Amino acid sequence: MSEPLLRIRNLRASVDGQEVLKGIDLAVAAGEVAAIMGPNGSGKSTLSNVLAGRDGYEVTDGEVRYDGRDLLDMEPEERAAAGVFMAFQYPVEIPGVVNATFTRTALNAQRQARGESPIDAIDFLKRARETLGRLEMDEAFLRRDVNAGFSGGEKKRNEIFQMAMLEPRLAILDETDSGLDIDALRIVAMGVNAMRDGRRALVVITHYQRLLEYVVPDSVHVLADGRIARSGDRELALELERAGYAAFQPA
Amino acid sequence: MTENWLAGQRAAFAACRGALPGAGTPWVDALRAQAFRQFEEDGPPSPKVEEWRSGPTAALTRQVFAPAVPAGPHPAPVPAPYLAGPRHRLVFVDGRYSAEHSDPGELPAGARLTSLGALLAEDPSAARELVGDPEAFAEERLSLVTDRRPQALVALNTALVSDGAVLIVDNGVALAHPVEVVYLAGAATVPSAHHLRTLIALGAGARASMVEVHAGGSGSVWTNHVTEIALDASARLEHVRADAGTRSAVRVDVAHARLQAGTAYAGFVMAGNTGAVRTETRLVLEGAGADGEINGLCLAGGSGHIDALTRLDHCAREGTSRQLWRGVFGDQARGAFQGRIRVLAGASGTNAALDNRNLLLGTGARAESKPELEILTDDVACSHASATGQLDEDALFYLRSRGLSEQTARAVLMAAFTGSVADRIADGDVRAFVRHLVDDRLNALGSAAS
Repeated sequence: MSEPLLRIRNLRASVDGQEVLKGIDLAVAAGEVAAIMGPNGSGKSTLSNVLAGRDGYEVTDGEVRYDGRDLLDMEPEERAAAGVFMAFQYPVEIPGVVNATFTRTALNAQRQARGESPIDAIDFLKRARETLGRLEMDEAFLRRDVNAGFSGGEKKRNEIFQMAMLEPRLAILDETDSGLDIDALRIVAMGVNAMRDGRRALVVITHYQRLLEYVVPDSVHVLADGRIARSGDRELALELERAGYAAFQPA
Repeated sequence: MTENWLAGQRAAFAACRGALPGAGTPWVDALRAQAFRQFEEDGPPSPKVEEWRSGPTAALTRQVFAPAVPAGPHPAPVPAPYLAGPRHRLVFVDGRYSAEHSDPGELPAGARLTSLGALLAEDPSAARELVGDPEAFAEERLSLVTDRRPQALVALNTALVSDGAVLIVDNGVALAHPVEVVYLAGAATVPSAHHLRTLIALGAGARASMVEVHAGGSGSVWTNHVTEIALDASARLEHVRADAGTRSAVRVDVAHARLQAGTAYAGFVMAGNTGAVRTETRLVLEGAGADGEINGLCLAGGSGHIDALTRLDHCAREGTSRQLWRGVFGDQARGAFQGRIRVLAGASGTNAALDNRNLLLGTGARAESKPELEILTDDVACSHASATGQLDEDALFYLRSRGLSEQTARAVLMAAFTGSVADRIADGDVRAFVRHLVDDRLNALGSAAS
C-alpha cells in the first residue's frame, strides 16, 4: 500500500501553554475526501491552523508528513508551493490589494517556487473568468479588493475561487460551510466537487453534516477533546446528525 | 550652540549677499536685509515653538550650513528625466540654474518658465510684481490671521535665496505638459546650504502641473526650499514635491498657496530623504468655492526623521479640502504629522477632511499624529481620523498561506497601505513617476525590516 498524501501521527499541540491537540492520528490518501467533524472546542481550528503553519501554535509531539515531506518544518509559503491550500474560516480583508492582482501574484509565486514559468496577465484573466463562470460568481470579484467589504458568503466563495485557481493537491476547508445560505453552500460544494479528480485530497473540517450532503466524503472522523475519537464512512456523519456530539463530549 | 549657529549664518550672509541674484537692485537688497533682520529676531527653529515641536531642530543646528558653492567639488550626476512623456524641464545644480541640463521646451503663448536668477537679472520689475509687496515676501503671508511668527527659515530663505523655478501663466492659458523641476545637490563634504525659492503664479482659469524633485545630497547638505503659489480665480494646479533618493542631512520644504475663488490646488508630497525632512504645506482658501487637496507619503527608515505639517485655512464660504497622509517608518525612524484645519468666521458651507495613518515596521520606529480642528463658524462639515499600527499579522499570514514569501507579503501590504494616496495624482506620467519612487522606497524599507 502506498504512503497516504497526508499522514498525521500522534500530533500534540498547545496554545498559550494549554494542550489542545492530544495525539491525533489521521491518514488521507490522494483522491480521498476526508471529513473531520467535532463539537466546538474539540480542536478543529487548532488542527487547521497547525496544518497551515500559523504562528502561536506549539507542536509538542508527533509529526505531519505531506507527500513524504515534514510539513511542520515548512514555511506557510512553502506549504502553498507544495500544493497545500487552506480555505480559512475567517478570510482576512485586505483593502488596497485587488483580488485579481493578488490571485495572480499568489499563483505566480507558487509557480516560481516550483520552477515553472509565470502565467501572463491575459492567460490569467481568461482562466479567472472561466473559473468565475463555473462558480456562478460575478467578474466584478476580480476588480474588488481582497475580501474588503465582502459578505460572509462572498468571502467563502472567494476562498473557493482561489482554490480553483491555485489547483492544490491537498485542500483543507476550515468550516467553509459556516454561515452560508443554501445557494452559497451549493456553489461552495460545486467548487469542492470540481476538485475531485482522483488525485487531489480534501480535508473538510465542519461542525455540521450539511455540507456533506453535497460533498460526499470517503471517510468521516470525529474529533473530540483533541483526539480522533471515531472514524467511519458517510454513515457516521448521518449518525452524528441524528444523535449529536453528546456521546463524544466530556461528561 | 544657538549663538554659534546664528553667527555662522550672519557671516554667510555678509560673505555672499553681494553675489546673490538681484544684488544691486535696490528693492531686492532691501528685501534681503529686512528678511535677515527678521531671521535674527526669530532665531533658529526651536522645539519650544508649537509648530516645530517635532521638527528636526537638532539636525538643523548641529552644523552651521553655509550657502553652497555653485557646482561644488563633488557634483552629482544629473539624473535622466523623471517623467516619461513630454515635459518642460528645469534643472538646478547646487542651488543654481543649469542651462546645460535644462530643457524648458516650447511653452504656449502666455506662459513663462524661467529661473528666479534670470528673472531678477532680466526683468526685475516683473519679479517685483510677482512678489507683490516685497515687504511681505512669503514669511508675512504664511497664514492669514495669527501665529504666523516665527518663520525664521522662510526669512533666511528670502535673505539667502540663490535660485529656483518660476512659472507664470496668464489668464486662461493651459500647459499641455507637466513642468519637471529638479533640485540636485552635490555630495558636499563641508556643511552646505541650498536656499531655493519656487514661484508659481497662475492667472484666472490657467492650468498647470508641476513636479519638484529633490535629488542627491549628503550628510553635510541642508536644503531650505520655499514654494510660493498664487492661484487666481478658477485656476487649477497639480503640484508634486518629491524626494528621489535624496541623502541630505536635512531638507526643509515649505509650500504656501493662496487660492482665489473657484480654484483647485491638488498637492502631493513624497518625503523619503534618508536624513531628516520637515515638510510644510499651508493652503489659504481666500476665495469662495476654492478646493484644496494635500496628500502625502512619509517613508523613512534607518535613523530618518520626517516631520510633516499642514495648515488649511478656510477663509471663504463653500470651500472644500481633503488631506490623505500615510507614513511608513522602519528601523529607528521617527515620524510626526501635525495637520490643522481652521475654518474662519464667514467660511460657511466648508467641507474639510483629514486622514492620517502610520505604519510602523519595527519596534524601534515611532510615529505621532496630531490632527487639529479649529472651527469658528457654523454650518461646516469637518472630519479627521488618525491611527498608528503595525502590519496586520493575520493579513501577512493569509498572503503567505497563498504562496507569497514573507518579504513579498510585506511589500504587498505596504503598497496597499500607501497606494491610495499616489492614485489620487491626476496626470498619468506624474502618477507613474511617483509610484515608481514609492515602490523603490518601500522596497528599501521592506528589505531592511524583514
